[in-house]
Amino acid sequence: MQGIDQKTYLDVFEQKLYSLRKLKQDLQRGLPAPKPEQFLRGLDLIIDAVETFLSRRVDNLRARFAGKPQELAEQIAFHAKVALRILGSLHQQYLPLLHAESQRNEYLFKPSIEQAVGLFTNSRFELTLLPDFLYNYAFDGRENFANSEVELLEKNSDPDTKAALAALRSKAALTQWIVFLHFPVADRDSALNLCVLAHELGHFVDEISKIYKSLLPIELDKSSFDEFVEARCNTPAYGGTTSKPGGPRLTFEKIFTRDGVQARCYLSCNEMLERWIREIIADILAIHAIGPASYFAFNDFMAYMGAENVTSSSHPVPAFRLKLMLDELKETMGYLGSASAVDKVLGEAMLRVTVGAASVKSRYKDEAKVVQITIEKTLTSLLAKIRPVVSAYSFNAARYQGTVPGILERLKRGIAPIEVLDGVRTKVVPASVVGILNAGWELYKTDIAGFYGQFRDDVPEMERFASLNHLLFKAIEASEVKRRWK
Amino acid sequence: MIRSRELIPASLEHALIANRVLAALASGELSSQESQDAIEDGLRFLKSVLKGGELASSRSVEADSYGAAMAYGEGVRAFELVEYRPGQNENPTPYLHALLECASALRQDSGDGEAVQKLKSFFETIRDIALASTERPLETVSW
Repeated sequence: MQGIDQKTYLDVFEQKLYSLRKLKQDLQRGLPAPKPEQFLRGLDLIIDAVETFLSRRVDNLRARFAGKPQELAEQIAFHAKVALRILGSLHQQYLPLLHAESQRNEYLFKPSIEQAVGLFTNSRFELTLLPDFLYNYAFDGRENFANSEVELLEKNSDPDTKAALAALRSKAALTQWIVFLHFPVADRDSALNLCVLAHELGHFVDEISKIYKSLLPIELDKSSFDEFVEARCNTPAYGGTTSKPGGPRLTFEKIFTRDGVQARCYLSCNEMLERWIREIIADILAIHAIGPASYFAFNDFMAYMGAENVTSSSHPVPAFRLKLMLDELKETMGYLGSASAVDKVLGEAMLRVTVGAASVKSRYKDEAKVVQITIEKTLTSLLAKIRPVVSAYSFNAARYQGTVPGILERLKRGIAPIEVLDGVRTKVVPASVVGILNAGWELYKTDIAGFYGQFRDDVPEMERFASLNHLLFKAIEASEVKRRWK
Repeated sequence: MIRSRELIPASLEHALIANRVLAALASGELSSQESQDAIEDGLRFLKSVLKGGELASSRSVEADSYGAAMAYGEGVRAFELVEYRPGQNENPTPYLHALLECASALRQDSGDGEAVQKLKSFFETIRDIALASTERPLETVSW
């Protein structure tokens, strides 16, 4: 106990509740249309639920501990702390989303994204694209947003509080999925770079289709796990110093128990394995969904980030991921088997990433080593379970050859490829979004000098590049309109 | 990249459960429905701790293994703080099983003062560990 009395806790809670409600209203007022109605209702539900939870619980506790002032004070302090933590998390995690949304523009590709998601789910969802100054792409999706939090409070309440919370929840009637896709603001004008969003959508499809869960159980590799636990047990605590010269070395095993060390090792491997496999699932889904465009966009994104070829707690090594994408293009999707321009570029890339992936093998350590070996041992069966989810929509080599050349031919001449001749060249049809994106990447990777050659000499090269992106955006938007209104 | 936003992380949920058990023990009305529900959830938590231990030993990653592993980590930490003394048996499983028996006895209204004390020490530690892990820094300084 910090010596803070219950009145202070309850007063502080009231103040914070008021200021959060006001802040939310102010941010809501600044949002462009259409507003994320479901998300806003979810925020209201959480704020109302936390208020109800605390006030009802306090009433209950006052009756229950009427003759026990010390217990009452302790219980009220605990409940107020929990309520304040939740409001604090709301402030830190969710209100910035509203703030970012006030900077949102209407994006030309959002209808195409929504249509793509619609192929995988009948669930109701609210999807928002958020420009972010944090330079990365991110998927941020919640199933049963707000409802699940309120249900948790219900579970830990007395019957009266439970009933009041359940009533709030049923009144809110929220959409099943609320999803935010974050992208760097600097990429807003680049249709080519924004292809990374296919990977973020892959995370959404994974969540909807429960792909990760279908891959479980997975057993962590025994030998590397035992080695990891042993190394942790013998890790010197406090930087390796001993209590006195020549004295016994203080290790983690001496501070904690061996079971305690093993529990921590297992937890960190568990978390890393889930994160890495989910990244692999999203990579594979994206490569099937938009073909080589996904590989090219990732390759350039990693270069832009100056990414080192090392693991992180959230992602496998870049070269391993890029190789996995190229392997998928080659082995399952029929690419890298011809003399076409795109296959030539992909073939050259394969040589580089194979070397990159091999060079890192001996450098895996601790939980990364356990997780990498576990994934490599189970990779064949993992991939076999991921592919069926997307196989019907796979942009394989045959589809590429059937759609991209016609689009590319128009793009090369500086024409927005909104419509193209169909496969049998008898009628004009709206160009496919995936075809447009791949044509853009093929042009950029194989013949950008030819495209630039159409401009006056005084037009800077990056403006010529920007024109390519404008053509792509225009084609994506207009072809989608034609598809919907034909 | 996946961004996780959890308003009520697993550790805060564990703190809520532990506190409900403590409230039940402190209320002196162990037979009331509210107390019995709390003891029942405490029992469920202890089973989850033991499941986490089994999963850690078998190195099996399952659908609910993260939550169980987290509960196990908290359970072992509580064992280290409450029960374990250097030189003694460092396996937490017998201690966790004994707690399970205490909670079961209280659930059947046959627990004694020792059972209450044992559960109180454990769940108090769990509540404090779990609550502390969701704490935000009061201040951040960088230069």
